[in-house]
Amino acid sequence: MNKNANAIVKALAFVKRDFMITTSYKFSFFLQLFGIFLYVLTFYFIAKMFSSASIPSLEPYGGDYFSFVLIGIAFSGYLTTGLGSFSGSIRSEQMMGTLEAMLVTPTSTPFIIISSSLWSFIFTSIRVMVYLLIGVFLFDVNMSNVNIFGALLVLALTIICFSSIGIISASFIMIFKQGDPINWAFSAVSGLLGGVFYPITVLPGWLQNFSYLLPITYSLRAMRLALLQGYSLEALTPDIFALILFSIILLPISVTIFKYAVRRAKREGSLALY
Amino acid sequence: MAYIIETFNLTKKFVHVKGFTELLLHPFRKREVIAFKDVSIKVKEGEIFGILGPNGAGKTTLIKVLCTLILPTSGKAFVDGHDIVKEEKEVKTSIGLITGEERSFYWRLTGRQNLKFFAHLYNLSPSEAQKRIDEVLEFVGLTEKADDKFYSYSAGMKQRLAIARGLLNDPKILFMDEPTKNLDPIAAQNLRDFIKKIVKEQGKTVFLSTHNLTEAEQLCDRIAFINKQIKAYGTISELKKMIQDAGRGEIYVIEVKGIDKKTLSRLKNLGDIVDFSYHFQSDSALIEIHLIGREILPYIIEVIVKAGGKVYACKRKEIVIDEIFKIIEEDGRNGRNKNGSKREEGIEGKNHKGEKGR
Repeated sequence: MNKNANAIVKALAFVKRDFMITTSYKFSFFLQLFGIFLYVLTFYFIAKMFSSASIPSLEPYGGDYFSFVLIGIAFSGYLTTGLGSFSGSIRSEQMMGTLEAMLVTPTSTPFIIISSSLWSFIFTSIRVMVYLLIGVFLFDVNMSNVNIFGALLVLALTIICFSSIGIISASFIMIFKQGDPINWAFSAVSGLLGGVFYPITVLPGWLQNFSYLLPITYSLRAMRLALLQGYSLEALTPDIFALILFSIILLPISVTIFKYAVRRAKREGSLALY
Repeated sequence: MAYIIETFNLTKKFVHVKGFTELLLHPFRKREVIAFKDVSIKVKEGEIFGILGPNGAGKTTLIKVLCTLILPTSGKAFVDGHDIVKEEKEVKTSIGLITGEERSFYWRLTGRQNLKFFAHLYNLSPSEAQKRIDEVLEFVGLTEKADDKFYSYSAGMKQRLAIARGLLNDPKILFMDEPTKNLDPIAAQNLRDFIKKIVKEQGKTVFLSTHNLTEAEQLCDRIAFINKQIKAYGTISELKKMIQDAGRGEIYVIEVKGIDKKTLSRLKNLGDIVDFSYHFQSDSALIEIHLIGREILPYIIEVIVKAGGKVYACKRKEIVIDEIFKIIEEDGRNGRNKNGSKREEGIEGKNHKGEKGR
């Protein structure tokens, strides 16, 4: 078996393992999906309060608050997953006692950590699909103009950006075990300034400047424009360019920090400790 | 002779984790804790090599270093000819690690699903994995239970599955870290028989850590005693001989009737006696005497007989592994090195209790 085929088989083995474990807790699995419906319903009623009002800050996205917030909460799931899944998978394997058994195999540590997070991204994608399907079929969200290719490109770049930050966060967990400032800071600041629940244009000008330092700002704006307004790739270029720039900067930094963290944990003998 | 594991002055020190007070008072002071130091051992292919020592002696850390899970501080080590620092991947393809830690599996998956997952991490293709899993399950006798959830397994079955996982990549060397730790005596004995079977039928080299001396005596071809440093190593008979040749003496058990406590206390104060103890069993006294040389034995018997005692038996006691361990530990506490000498002298040079006069 060649190297690439082997890597795919291995990555699928991680996905299969996590799928089997997740679905073995059937009640929790269905409860999570039902939770999405309730969450969407809550925002549907909030949106109804000002459905008749014309809100200028929502105009670029079609003017409908429910459609706006639906995409915000659905796709911000990738931020949560990107930031938390790498460190979460390390911590859960450490606590289950399975990390050492994996690390003694010829599979590299970065491959193990990245593959351990694949299922989280797949599950997040399922959740996003459920959000969108509920929105479209139950609450009449209009996505008839969707630019699927543009949305997928934005999604791919979003995952790279968020995962890079997540890998830096995992490096903290690898060394300090608990207390991860990266995840904490990005989650809190992105929720406030990233445009998940409201357009960033409602923020004071000086605060908006900070929003532009966050990848989620570009990611959510481009995603909304691609899904709701059907913007072409050309029209999405500024946001796509910003996301590419974030990826170019964050990915090598995250890989370097992660390599350092693994080496330090191996030197300290704390790789499998929690 | 080619050795499958070789270490040269291998040392591992950890940085001491500071408490809050220490962190505030001495933020830049760096203290190190020695896990083990200057470990130089050679393991032959196809042998069961035991590493023995009390808790905290450095056994598990040594295994983790050899398995590339922890980086050494200094020294060199080669596993199957590969440098453990520079050729980590090659080392990992040659080894399997089996611990007494039953948490190292996914409890909600079946035994077979667990093995399948780990087989892929060992770079086996789906068809190779399938074949190998069937083989190892058959070898460990878990074929019938392979599709049961791991959480339903008994402790013995969990340990056998750990062995099956350790064999998945058909490694040359199996590292076993206290594999019988969580097992009841019968399951532990079964596992020991099983380990012998692995070596006999599959020609594996086993590097086993344990603090169970009987287990080491039953299983191991050679043993190394470790307590931060290697105190001694060789076959059990070599170690016994080393202790006897070293003038560490011999132990005799004398069964006597009609002896009084005054005579017993006189015997205790004779010279050349390392250790003396006795207990009464109905009307007989069983005296255990550890002597430097047996030249004094006829004199001891003479003292007993002159005091009116009747000697019914006098047997030389075989030194068991527990006593070797005890002697080596005592040497360690007295500041002796792995050859037993006080820093420089050999084990043979141990200075026994001085003669108190005959």
